Amino acid sequence: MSVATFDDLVALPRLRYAFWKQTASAENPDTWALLGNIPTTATTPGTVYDDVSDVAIVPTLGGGGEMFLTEWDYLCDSNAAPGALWLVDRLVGVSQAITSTGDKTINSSALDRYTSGEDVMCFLEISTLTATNVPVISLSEYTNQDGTGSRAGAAVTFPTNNVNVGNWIGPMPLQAGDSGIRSIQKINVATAPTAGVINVVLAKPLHLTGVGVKATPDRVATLMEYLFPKQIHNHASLTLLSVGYAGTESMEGGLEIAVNA
Amino acid sequence: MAVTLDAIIDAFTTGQTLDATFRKAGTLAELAGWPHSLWRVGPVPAAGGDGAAGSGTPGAGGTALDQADGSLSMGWDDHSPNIKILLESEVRSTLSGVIVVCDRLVSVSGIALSSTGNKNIGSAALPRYTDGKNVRPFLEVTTATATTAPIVTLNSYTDQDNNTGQSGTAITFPAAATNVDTLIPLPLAAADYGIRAAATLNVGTAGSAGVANFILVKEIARIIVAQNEGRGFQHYRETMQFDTVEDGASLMLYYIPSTTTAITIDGAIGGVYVAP
Repeated sequence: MSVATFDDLVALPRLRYAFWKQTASAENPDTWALLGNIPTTATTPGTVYDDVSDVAIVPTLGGGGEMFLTEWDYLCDSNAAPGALWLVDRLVGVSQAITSTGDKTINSSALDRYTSGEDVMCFLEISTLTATNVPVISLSEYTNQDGTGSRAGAAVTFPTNNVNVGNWIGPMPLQAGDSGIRSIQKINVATAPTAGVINVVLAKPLHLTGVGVKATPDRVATLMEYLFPKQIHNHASLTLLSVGYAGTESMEGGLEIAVNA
Repeated sequence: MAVTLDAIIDAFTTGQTLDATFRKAGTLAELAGWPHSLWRVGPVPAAGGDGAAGSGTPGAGGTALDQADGSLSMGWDDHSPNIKILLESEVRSTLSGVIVVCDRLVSVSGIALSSTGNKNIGSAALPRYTDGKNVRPFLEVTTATATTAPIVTLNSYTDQDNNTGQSGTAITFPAAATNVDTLIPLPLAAADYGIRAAATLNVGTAGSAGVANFILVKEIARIIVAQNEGRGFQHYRETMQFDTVEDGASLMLYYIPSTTTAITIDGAIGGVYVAP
């Protein structure tokens, strides 16, 4: 069935995915942190994440099938301060040690969703705790959303020398005029820690929403509130990030996805 | 196709969507309640530019902006001539206040605030919202002022009804040392509610330092944010109107701070495009 009207959309069957997630210890209140587990990620050319999610493994639909995020609800069990959640689709990741300075070859695999790279962002996911020095890293060579290569972004200084596992640094700066990334060829480590491994992750942000203080339930009805339920692609690797609280936090909730099979 | 709710549904189910993720790390705000620009900072998108310098020839000064680097809407004209409609804005801010989404229309750089007298602007013709209605003029500080708080007057401009030679009232900067990126809202004459172009700005009292951009912007949406808590703005549901984005739009953000701490915001704006 072709979904062309509001009535068509609200009539679609829904799938509900319940989740309970917990962060690694967040670094500071302004650093995004992964809610859940870091998936296995290979070194260059990395891992294409298909159906790699501990939030929701969505069905694979045939030609013409569509899925839309229509609602999500959540309650934070442990945070003492308000914050935010960011739902992203994790696309590609490349594991890279950052314990020496200089350019590091990434040569990330091609995107299999959002293939133009428009609004695809890069985050640096800490998979091994950094130590001693505060890392300074930039995207020193990437291909932008128009397929133009040899692009480079400004450097980012990590929030501390001991950045915890599960923190996401970013989105990483892009070159002026760019609005997304198709692939990454190199990163540059200007200041190296004595320990530390990162996953250079390409992800498509889907929806950002607020979280109240401890035990305050929240709900976002993306269809009814925004008229803008985000499309979920086949093999989506839905991932939740959290910000706003420096400690470990737990999140209980669910996603609802309308399916037009 | 007319813009209807069904047209919007049809648009996003056929992939006619627009998204722009941002992260902006602002400079120190000058004073609570004084707007502060996020145009000249990154990291995502990268910082925007200042535009060309002013001119004594009307229309020859500055730069009319069209999909300018640094804008949130870069690339959205790939979908022209469709009508682009904002449906959501999502923001997580480290400070409470108001985040303003606006279309940066014209930017004139290098307005010296360190000497008195008339400064040439000669702003380029508006590329959008050409009647000037509800277009607002600001100074955007690019070099901090010093010693004395400047007092300025937009003393020759063309209003929304095409009346030339209009003169606004004076405004005093919030501090002798007004921080970079502070926006100074320039008052218009009584009964004016928009501006098409500016010829000169008078600096009645100068600082010992200070440079600013003169900019013209059209406000599109305001998002009230609480400190640290993510906030979604539902453009249609909250306003019962379609917030449209013009072809060539150079969307920027500024904020109205509640304190003088530097802000960091993460978020995105999004919507759909439909056929006219």
